[in-house]
Amino acid sequence: MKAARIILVYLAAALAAAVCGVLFGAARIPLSEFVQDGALNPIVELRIVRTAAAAVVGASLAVSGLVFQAVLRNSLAEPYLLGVSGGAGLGAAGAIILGFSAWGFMSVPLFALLGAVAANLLVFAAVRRRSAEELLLGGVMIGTLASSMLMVLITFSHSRDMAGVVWWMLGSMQNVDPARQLAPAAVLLCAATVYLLFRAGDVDLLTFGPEYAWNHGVNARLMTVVLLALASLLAAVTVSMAGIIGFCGLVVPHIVRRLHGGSHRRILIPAALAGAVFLMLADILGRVVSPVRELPVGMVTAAVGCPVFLWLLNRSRAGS
Amino acid sequence: MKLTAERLVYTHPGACEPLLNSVSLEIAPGQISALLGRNGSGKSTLVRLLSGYLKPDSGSVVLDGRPVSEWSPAERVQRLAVVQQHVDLPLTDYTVRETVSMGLSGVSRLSGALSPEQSDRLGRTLDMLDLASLAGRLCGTLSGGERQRVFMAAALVRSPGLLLLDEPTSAADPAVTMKIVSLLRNLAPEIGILVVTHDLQLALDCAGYVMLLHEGRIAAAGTPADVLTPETLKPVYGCSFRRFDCEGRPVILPE
Repeated sequence: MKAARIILVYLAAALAAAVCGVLFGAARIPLSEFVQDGALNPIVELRIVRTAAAAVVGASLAVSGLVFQAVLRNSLAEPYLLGVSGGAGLGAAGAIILGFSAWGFMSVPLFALLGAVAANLLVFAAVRRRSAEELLLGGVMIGTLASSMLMVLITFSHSRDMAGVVWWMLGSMQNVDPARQLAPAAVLLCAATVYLLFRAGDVDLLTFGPEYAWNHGVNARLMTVVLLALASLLAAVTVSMAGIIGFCGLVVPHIVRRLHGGSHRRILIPAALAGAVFLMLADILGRVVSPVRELPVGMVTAAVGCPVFLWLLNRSRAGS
Repeated sequence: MKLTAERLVYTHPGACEPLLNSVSLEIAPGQISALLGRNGSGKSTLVRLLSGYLKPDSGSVVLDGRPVSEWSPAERVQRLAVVQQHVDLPLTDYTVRETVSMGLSGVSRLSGALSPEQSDRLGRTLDMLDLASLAGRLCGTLSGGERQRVFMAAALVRSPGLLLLDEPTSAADPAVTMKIVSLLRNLAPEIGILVVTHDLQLALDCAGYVMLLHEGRIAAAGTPADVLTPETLKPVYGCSFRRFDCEGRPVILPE
């Protein structure tokens, strides 16, 4: 299938998922009640925000995962590798348990972002040679250290704080602020996508290994660090918005790569759109399946993503 | 255009002794040079130093009048192409055409579209390496020898002035080896070529200049007739060799 046609198919799927995200939810709202007295129904308004949030978070995680997998040449690489989830978890838990959440609505996401960025910087500072493999190992180490510290914090916390931390770590689109969180994340996603489209040739070459990329005119060490930092930032921003949502950044790029293969220039936008569709559908499912107390989106992504991934694992891309 | 290495010293990180100790060589257009040596003698490391991928402890590598590290990556690869011995297979399986076109410079960054001149050059390179019929195949489905030719095509598609080949025939059958020898001979008048190989016969058949790397130094260098002799090879490889003529063609074999 031609690249433009592939993008159109994914775009249509994303639009359909977005419409479903607005139409369906815990409460049944007839179409006639979407607009009341000239204003948008507040529940519909909330649905629009969380659907847009799911799209931006899903696309960001998929793009981040695509870059991680390409640069680290590992299909198990995922956006949280370089200590992002551990650092963000520690930041968010610290904010909740140490009482910083009382500072305001944005304090927990802000601390999560700070924790993720701090863990990331620590990895880049601690790993001297900065090859893909060493950064990966450094990320696992820093992530493990952060997770251990998080466990210590949880152990010494009150039970009500613990519930908040656990709920946040399972991921949710409920509390995304459209102006202060969603808009900057969308801008970052667009900027990262455009940059990656320009650098897709370099990403392709890096998939053959750093020496091959060097021999074809890519400053492999510098590009590895830039791409991993960008992918980590995308993941960190999504964590600060919606908590830790697993599987999307691991499964979606893998599936898109398996289905369409070829250059990253060709699969970048399909992967972003597929990530958006995946998370919008997971969010809808979480709201519809359990309307009284909705399922955390991270749980839905794992429950849906795992069997789909295993099914696709047994199919391979047909030769051109 | 030429590539000159002066007194290169290189020690692997963590090693006590240098792997390469004061190695000097020159690669100039119009000549095929061959670099021979035992396993682990540092041949591939020397190629990495020449390409600028590794930095030497001391010594210099000068490409076309400037230290290799001072060229921008894009400028460097226009002058110098390297074909590695081992290339990792990527997660994404690319077709032969996609892989070879990655070697082209100046491809539109956003669309990836090739200009008519680039398409023409790509077609000629695929023909030159007998890859035209495989252009749509995924690289993961190719044999080791076919894949080696794909990577060679990706290096040659830029029409570089200098070409470094690390074990270009290690996965090739005799027919493909002869094809590669003939290709290198055809290219040699225009470009400078360094072939790293274990195949003494390949060096004898196609090289005009041969270097023997042993214990971190160039132990012998000169014409194949001078260097590829039983007396020179025995101390390097630790076994005896026999050299004889077969229908006017020199042949060298280990005994």
